Amino acid sequence: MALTEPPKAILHTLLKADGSATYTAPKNGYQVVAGVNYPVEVPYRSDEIPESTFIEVNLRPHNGVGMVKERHMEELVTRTLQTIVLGDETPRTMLQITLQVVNVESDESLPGGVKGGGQGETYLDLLASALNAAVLGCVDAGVQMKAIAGAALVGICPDGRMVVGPSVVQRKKCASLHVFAFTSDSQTVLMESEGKFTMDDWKQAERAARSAVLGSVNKQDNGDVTMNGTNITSGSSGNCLLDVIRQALEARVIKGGNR
Amino acid sequence: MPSIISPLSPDPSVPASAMPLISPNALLYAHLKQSPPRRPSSRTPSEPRPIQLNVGSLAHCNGSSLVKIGATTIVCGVRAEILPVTEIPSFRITKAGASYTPTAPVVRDTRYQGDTEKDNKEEDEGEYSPISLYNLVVPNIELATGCSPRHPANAAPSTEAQSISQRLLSLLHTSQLVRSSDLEIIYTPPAQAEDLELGIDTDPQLKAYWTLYVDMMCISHGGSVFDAAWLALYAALKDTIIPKSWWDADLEQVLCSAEVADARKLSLRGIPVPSSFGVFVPEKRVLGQDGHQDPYWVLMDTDGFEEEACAETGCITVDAGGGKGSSLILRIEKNGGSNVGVEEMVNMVTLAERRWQQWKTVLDAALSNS
Repeated sequence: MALTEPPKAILHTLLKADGSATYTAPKNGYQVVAGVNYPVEVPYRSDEIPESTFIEVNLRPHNGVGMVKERHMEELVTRTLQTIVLGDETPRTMLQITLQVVNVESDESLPGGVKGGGQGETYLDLLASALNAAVLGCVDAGVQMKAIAGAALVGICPDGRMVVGPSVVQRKKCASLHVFAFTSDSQTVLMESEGKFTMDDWKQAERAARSAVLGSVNKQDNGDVTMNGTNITSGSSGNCLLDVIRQALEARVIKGGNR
Repeated sequence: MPSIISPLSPDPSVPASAMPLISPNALLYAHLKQSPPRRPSSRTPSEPRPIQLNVGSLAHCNGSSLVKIGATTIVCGVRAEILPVTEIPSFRITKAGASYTPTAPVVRDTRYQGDTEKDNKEEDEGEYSPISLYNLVVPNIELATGCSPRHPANAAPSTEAQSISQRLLSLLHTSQLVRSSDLEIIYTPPAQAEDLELGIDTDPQLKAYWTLYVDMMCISHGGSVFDAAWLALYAALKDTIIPKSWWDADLEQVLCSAEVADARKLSLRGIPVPSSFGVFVPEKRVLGQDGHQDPYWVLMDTDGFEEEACAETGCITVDAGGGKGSSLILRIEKNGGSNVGVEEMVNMVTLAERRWQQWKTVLDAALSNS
């Protein structure tokens, strides 16, 4: 199952940061800007890790200041990055990632088209976008990573239908929401599900998310993808998230010289 | 006069109690590589710790509980407060209490007429549950009680405390544990007051909500705090009594009965039970020449020392009380590593169901004693 409308990713959208990216979720959902500084000095000595890199993630919602919900999401993004970043390459330093939500979908069914984001609401919808933006920012900053990771949001409707990247109204109707993050070597690094579901639903959701992130790419045995510039950009394998990341990287590398 | 010098310890080896501090990873690996694998606490990897539960120990709150799982101890108290709808800034009436007569609805927003049939069966909250919309159930956990060296007393809430609070809140909302109809205070005007010309009708009106503040104190942090906190929260809500309350039209405020006999209990939806786990991966230098290719162990219900040695952690929340053969899953979390995939998670459902049975037994025993 390919994404009906692919997410958008642009690298190096901020000039001063070491690395940056703008990620827009499918169907013009969340838009998140990531600013990455790496490697920088650790501000507090107690946070310094002698054999690894300290990762700090700051998440700012579209309105107001981050509270308990944002702290939890920062924790999840940090823990996911810790599994893919090769921290021992730059010991005693810090990888600082700032994520700013710049646009959210408004829920037209609420009076005045209220934009969501209350502390009581689910955090899974933003989590996938935040993680993707963070990974893109790290790619742009040249952070050394074992693999690229990407996350997808899957909703299961009460009638059992799977929706990859559901819109805000669809999300409200969904019986359960799931976020899965996979590395490019197809390992599962993050699973977050909530709602009411059975194990069979969950397995299906995992498959849907897997194909949305990894696609059915023409992989070589070592997990690499041939980047000859033709079969990727022409998109014969559908528009999975990793393709989007690859295209963003291509655009940055090829056109980056005249910026 | 010869000074008395105490003799040195006859055994120069490191005491066993110091090993977790010196090299937790090596200690855990040494235990787990035995066959069959044993944890330092002599549990098997899939064996959870026993649960102890007391309910109603605190006298000054609406409901309370104390849960002990191994070294983890959580005290939980529920305080109910009245929230008049006039004090809710963005209040909008969407539906009547579903337990109330569906034929005489509270003034409805016409745009939501389509949802009413669905709400009548009372099985689920609507799309916009007042509990999440107006934050009628507020859980909070305090770890800064000196419960462990990692959480200094009287400090600002740590990331862990905030994470646990958020997970408790999410699970409360997505499991729809508390019924919003239990929290509504509804006023039905007397029939003779009806005067259609003056626009006075006798439809029931929603006047106020009960708000439940669920506060938890972690007295001792011995790992898997989320499990213990959720079970404490569940038992405290089970123990909670809400005073009989009504709207007084003359005083224009909500009055409550002081009689305990008039008070009612909450009817909760299902029994969600979380089972936390950690994935232990031995470090490369610990592994040495032991030959295995990337061994790892999934440890259910990690204790404090194991939790520090496990980077990859997760939690699966099930409700096995549905009686439909396969149990309902309410929440799955896993992060911090890449060893546990779909297959391992499917295997863990059985363990989580066993944990559910264990909690059910403990809960039934505690509630029948109180």
